[in-house]
Amino acid sequence: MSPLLSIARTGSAAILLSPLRSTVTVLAVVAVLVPYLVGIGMVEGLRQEARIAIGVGTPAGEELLPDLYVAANQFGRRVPIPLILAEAIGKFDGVTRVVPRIVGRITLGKDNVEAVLVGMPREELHRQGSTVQQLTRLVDGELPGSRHGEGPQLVIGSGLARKLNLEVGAVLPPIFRSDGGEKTPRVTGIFQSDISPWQSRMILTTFESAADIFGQQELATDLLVFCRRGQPEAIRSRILQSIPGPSTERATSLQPSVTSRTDLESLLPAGLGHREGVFNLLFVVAFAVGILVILVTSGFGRSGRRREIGVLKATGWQTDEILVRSLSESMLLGLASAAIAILVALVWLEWLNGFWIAGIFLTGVETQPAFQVPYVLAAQPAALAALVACLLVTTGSAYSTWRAAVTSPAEAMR
Amino acid sequence: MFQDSSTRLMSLIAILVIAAGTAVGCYRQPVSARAADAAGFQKLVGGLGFGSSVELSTCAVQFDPRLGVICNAHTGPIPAGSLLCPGCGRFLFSFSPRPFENLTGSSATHHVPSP
Repeated sequence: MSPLLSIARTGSAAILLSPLRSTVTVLAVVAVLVPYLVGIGMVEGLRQEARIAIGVGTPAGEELLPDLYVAANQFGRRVPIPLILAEAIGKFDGVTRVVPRIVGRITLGKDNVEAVLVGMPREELHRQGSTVQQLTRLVDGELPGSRHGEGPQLVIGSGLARKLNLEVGAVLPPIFRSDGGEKTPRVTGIFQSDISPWQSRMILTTFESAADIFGQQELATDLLVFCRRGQPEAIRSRILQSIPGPSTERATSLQPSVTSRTDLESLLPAGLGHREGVFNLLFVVAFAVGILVILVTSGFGRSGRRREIGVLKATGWQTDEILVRSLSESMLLGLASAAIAILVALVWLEWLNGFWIAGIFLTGVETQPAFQVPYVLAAQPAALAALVACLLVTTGSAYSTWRAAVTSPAEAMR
Repeated sequence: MFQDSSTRLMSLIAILVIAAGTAVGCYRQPVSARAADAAGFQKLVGGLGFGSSVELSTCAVQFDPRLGVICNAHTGPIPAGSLLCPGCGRFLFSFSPRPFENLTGSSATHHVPSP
């Protein structure tokens, strides 16, 4: 074994010589790294979910999600869009179909639990439901099929089911009053908890029932436009130019707004990337504070450490050999800290399902999330964590070691 | 005695590093079955959900930018006004409240004069 490797190997013995200092150092680094790894893991997981939600990577020729989302604006704010526009857009060349959708906010129960009510046309729900390979993997129960004027049938999110203690077949107190009197909503299904984070507070019902609940007939939140391949941009231009037409009196003052997949795709780096950068910046500050912490913790057993270095120097060790030994010790501590941090982050995200921390980063999520928290433990942040851990420990302990190493053995052993 | 202990410590650190590497190798990509289920769910609801919020009480833009172009709590000229929104304030995942004209895609909002 080369002399340098032999010296480096004594680094592991140095860790054992001051176990308290080593333990505190590892804990300090792990405390800094774990929230970083968990946060970055969640942002990557959510990015993957968001890509699925906008249909990025959809195989060519497979119609999964709409190509365009048409909404209406008035006074610079979103307003409902008249259904009559769906018929006009449906006649455009290249449009395969137009599906109206209602998305609205409602509260349920005596605690006013927040929920997102989504209404899709009955035929569309059953059409899409029939194309899903295993519907039971998505919904425990059945899809809603209620018509206008009937009691609404609902598929509710896993978070709502847990919070309101609801099961399939349960009935809710009337949440609206129609012309035909009070209608009692019935739960026909519950979304499986592991399909998406956004299902947690969602209520899916038919378009007709959603219109009844909100008391808004002939209106939708947005129109989902499916186009032939290569046509979306041309159709978007046509919608913006010709909608609203002169014959649609109610729609004359509306400004159409068309969102395409390209727009949503560009939001991913713009939104997630920018904020992720801010998050990283904050952790740069945390790492800087971590160096100071390690610097302070390296003071644990400082007199003992000085004596140890003094003895080494008295027995013939050179300053550079002592520094190599200290570097080896720091690298081993850094590697161990990074490895422990990665494993703790994995346990927190996988087995504890982001307990508490998911509620910090995601709005509307309980301490114990009612859905499978999405995450990806990417190699890049893990490698960065290992590098930062080694740098932290090395920077934090190098100065005190060097100060002790350059003093005379007699002075160091005093 | 220290020789044995230091060897054991080196072995322990090696095991930890290998375990962490294996964990990253196994969990560096989302589970494909979950991705298929997520795609099925999105088909049912027509593509909904995109941001850091799972409900609409705080900020609809943070739930899904398809539902609105700007945050309702955005205070405009006040410096860091967007941070007053509890949805946008979740700095990790928030989208900057910006109009679609500024996106890299072609213009999405268009004013049509009333006839």
